Amino acid sequence: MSKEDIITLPNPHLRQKSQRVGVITDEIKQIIANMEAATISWDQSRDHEVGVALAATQIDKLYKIVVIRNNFDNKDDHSFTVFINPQIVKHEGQVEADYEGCLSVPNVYGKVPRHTKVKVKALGEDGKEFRVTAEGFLARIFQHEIDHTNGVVFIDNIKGQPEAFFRLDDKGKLEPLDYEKDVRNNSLLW
Amino acid sequence: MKKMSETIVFFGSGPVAAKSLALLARDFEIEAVITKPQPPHHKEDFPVLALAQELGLKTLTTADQAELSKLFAPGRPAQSNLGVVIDYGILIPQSIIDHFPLGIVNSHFSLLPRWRGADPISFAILNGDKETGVSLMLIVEAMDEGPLLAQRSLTISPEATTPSLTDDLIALSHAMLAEQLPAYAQGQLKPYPQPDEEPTYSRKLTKQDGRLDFTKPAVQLAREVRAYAGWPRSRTTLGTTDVIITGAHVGEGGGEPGSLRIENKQLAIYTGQAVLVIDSLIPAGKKEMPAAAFMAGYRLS
Repeated sequence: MSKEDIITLPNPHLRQKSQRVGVITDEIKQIIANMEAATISWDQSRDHEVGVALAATQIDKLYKIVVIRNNFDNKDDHSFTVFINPQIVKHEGQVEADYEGCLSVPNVYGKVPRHTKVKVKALGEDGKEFRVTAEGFLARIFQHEIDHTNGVVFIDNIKGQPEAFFRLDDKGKLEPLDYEKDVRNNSLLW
Repeated sequence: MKKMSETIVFFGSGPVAAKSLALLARDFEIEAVITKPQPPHHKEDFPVLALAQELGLKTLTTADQAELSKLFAPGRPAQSNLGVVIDYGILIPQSIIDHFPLGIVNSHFSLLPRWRGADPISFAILNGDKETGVSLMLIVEAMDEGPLLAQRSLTISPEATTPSLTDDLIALSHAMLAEQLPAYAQGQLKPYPQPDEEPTYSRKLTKQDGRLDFTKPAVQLAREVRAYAGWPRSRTTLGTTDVIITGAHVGEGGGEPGSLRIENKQLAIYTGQAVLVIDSLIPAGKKEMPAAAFMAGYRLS
């Protein structure tokens, strides 16, 4: 498994709902291992970006599975936490817009409004249910990934907002995209 | 989901800044380095400027606060959420601190609120402190009064000089920055106020500080030799020769302050209290030598 196994827009599977995982079989465990390997492979190919999380949809497996890196600011830390059938049980805090991007949406960053705090319920790899309260950037990650399990890509949340779209240049610097020219009718995105 | 790597803007000018930047550049993506420009006719290296160019980092020079403010004029914002300032030499105004959502972190080489001010390392040695350390602080406009992110201490060995202690503190500072900056950026560290103790203050040394005054006690003079070892260095005149004392320790004895005592192949100077035994020195125009070699080659009377 490598970064080439990550599907990108306009692949229509990214806008399909994933199914819940019933039993954590060897197949599911293999999918989890593949998701982690693909994220790390992608991460190592990028200079100015970090791959922080992935949903199974993104390696074209329509299961509600999410993996999140344990350390977002150290590319050498390859450990993850696994969330099976994750569900937001409560939105809290304020709504704040901040930058996020997606391994399945090349070259685009968006300033996406998200809740600053969420409570999440999920199963661990051992099949046991657990709950976490996430704040700040981690709360953003959960909302982004759980959207994936429901067939929603982050740009769908900012459609029609010209000032919310950016691209990352070669030097790792964000520059605004021209919404009319690069975004609105871009058949790769919608 | 992906995110941009966390970037920082680095403010620094002096040699300590250069050593810190060399280490930081390994662990962090540096959006820009802001440093003082090389003054005309400056003969020595300008370490941060040279290093930033060598590392291919975007480098901006500012001679003073006005130029710094211009750099952050509206419409030219930095992308980084966080700044780091080490040995910069220009006071950063509040408007620029406010520009960074997470503020600007300073690594100050003392256990604040001890030794606020320009030269905490020399003053810790001069004062005979047994320990010092590094404070990571969010800067505020008032000098060295900001809230802390972390503080770690270090024992000052009896032989420590300002250059050797500086190297130890740079290493400690870097270990702390590497660990705490990402934690702070991720919201895992909450700034806390400096301990409620009486602050002490250091200042910039002057060349005048380097003149040894033998009416002081020998223990103080021995500290001066170690504290001033990098600059301005400790100077006096032995016989007719101007010398820089590079190594000395306290010995027993009493006599007219400033007069020499030569016995048992040992060169000592009477002080206000006890004697200062000279271990090594640099005679004007010569290389560093042990006191014994100096006594063999120079007339002292």
